[in-house]
Amino acid sequence: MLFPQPQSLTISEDRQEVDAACGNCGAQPVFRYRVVTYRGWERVTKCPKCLSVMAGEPLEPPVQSGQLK
Amino acid sequence: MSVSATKDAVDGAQDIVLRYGIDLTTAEVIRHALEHIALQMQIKINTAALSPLLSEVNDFGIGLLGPRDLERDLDFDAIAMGSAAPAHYVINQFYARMAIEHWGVENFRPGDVIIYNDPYRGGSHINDIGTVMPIFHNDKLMGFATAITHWLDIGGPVPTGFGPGLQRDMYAEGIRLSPRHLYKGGELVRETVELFTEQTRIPDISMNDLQVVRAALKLGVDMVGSYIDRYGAEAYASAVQYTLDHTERAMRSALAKLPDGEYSAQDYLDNNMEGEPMLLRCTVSKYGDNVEVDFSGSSREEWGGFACTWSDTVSGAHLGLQVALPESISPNAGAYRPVHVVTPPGSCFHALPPMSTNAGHTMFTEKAINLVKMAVSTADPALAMGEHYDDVALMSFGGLDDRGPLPVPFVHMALFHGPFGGSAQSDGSCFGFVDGGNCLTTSVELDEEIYPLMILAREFVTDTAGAGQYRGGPATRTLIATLCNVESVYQLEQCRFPTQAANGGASGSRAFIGVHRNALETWASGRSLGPEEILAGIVDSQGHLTDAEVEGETEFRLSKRSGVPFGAGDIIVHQVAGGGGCGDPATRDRDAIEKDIRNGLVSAERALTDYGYAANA
Repeated sequence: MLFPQPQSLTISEDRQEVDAACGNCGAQPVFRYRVVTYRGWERVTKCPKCLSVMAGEPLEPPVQSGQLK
Repeated sequence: MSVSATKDAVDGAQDIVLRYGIDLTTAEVIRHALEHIALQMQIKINTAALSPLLSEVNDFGIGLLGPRDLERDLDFDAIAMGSAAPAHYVINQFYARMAIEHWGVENFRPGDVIIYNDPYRGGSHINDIGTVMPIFHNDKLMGFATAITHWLDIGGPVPTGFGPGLQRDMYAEGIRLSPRHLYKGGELVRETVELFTEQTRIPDISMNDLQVVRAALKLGVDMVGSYIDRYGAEAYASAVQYTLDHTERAMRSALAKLPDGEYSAQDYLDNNMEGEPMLLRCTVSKYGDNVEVDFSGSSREEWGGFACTWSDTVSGAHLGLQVALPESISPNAGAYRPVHVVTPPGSCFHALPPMSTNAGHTMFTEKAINLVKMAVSTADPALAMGEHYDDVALMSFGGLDDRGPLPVPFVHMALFHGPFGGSAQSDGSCFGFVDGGNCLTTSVELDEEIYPLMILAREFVTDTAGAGQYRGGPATRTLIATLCNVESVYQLEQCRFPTQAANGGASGSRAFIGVHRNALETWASGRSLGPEEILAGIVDSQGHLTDAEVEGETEFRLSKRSGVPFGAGDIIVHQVAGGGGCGDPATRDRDAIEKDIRNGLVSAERALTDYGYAANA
């Protein structure tokens, strides 16, 4: 093939653990990762238990920005 | 208004005045008008287009985007969409808005129509032509009319564009348009039209249908304009805000009824380009009235078109939720506010350029919808459902019709309806189109009049429905005769993995495609055609269709291929999967079994083995 392909057979979003407690339910830890909201891409810090979003910053879609991580 | 404020329940008509500055009646009149306008735009396409995909099949999405008004939390959001292909109208929230940003909001003028089809800019696949037309009122931009229309052919090496296993990158797909003028100030731009008339296999259809799309958009622009004239720009913007909030409240209310928790589903695509199955996973996390859908753990993208765009997957996630919930939610961006979607780059649910996505668009969008639906169906026994036939089953035919004095080039795409799974409430629908498509099949009369094809049969097949308290729908078998030499593409699912059942039900039968070579005269004489040559499906060492793979003894023949030749007089046998059953078959109502036997859906023998029911002799 002319173009590379991911080496891993399956692909998962990398969730970075953040040393903080959820401001809503107190769960710990929370995680930082990318989501698509109804307006587009964001990198959010989010609680896995109650889905509260503690922080979010808009992102260019990875295919436009070239930032795949 | 902040998004969180919209979550609050509305406390009577006076509350609407306080929140939005308009009375409830005006708000509701405009909310309904927006939906009506989108439907009128849709009908305009249906009545004037030449492409059967637009006139008959409904393979498009059309509607309106609201204004940009940050005070009201509005940003050219999708505010109303017609009822045609849902996968198209959800994606307008991304496809159209990214095209507007790319073109530059400040660059739009009245009468402009901008056209684009780059899937990697929030789109679906290259055949889906996006268009936007600005709505101006007294020089103020009040939003856009927008459409996605599936173009029957977009050039490139494969008639109709679908090239599973053949199009290994996006450069092999056809013409690719960054946003540009189709109309400039109301005038058709010849250079843009010539891209379609010179580089696709459907110049005459393109010449007409590009103008039809503009006419439909103009209808939307004019109708919105009439409401703004009547109620004023401020009231219109407030009503748009009300409309999105109204839908958001409805969606949050529906989500709140689901038990909190994490629900998952897993499935496989029959094959990638090299014949290996592709693992597909989805986890739906739900808390309160918020949801996150994560496709992590799914297979990597595979060359040859076995991946879809992130926007297709996001569209599928939203549709999956809407399909799974019992409530009917309006198709606008308000419904998407409570939902986050995780779609990892490099997975089959998030292709990276230069991956081809043309064929994968249909495969993975529908798989995404179905995975979400299946995951949510485990949240509550009342939501349980078996799996449906699970892909946009399509077969295309292209070539030269040489039956007349002059050979005539043709391109045709046949779409196949099929069964849905049984649910906790009822048997599965027998004959419908997958959730993301909501399309119709072209009529037999049209197919036979325009194309060198004959539809010899379209029938339900006995003993193909998954058994259950509520059975799945039966498979549909279609016999198509080709009347000249053609080249074909087919994409079909569940030739390898049967539909999944729920709550103790049974899977339906597997799908397959076969052919009887040069058999039309035999069929016409009434003689038996004998066993078909299996093109797609599991076969034994003799090449006969069999029901399960056994290592070293069976072979799986790919269910997605392009460039497949058929000769004049061949008869193609196309059978979709049977729907999965729901609930213990032993608990099925005895009268329902009798009725199935009378209708030929279940044989007396299978009634005994599957349901433990001895039919009256």
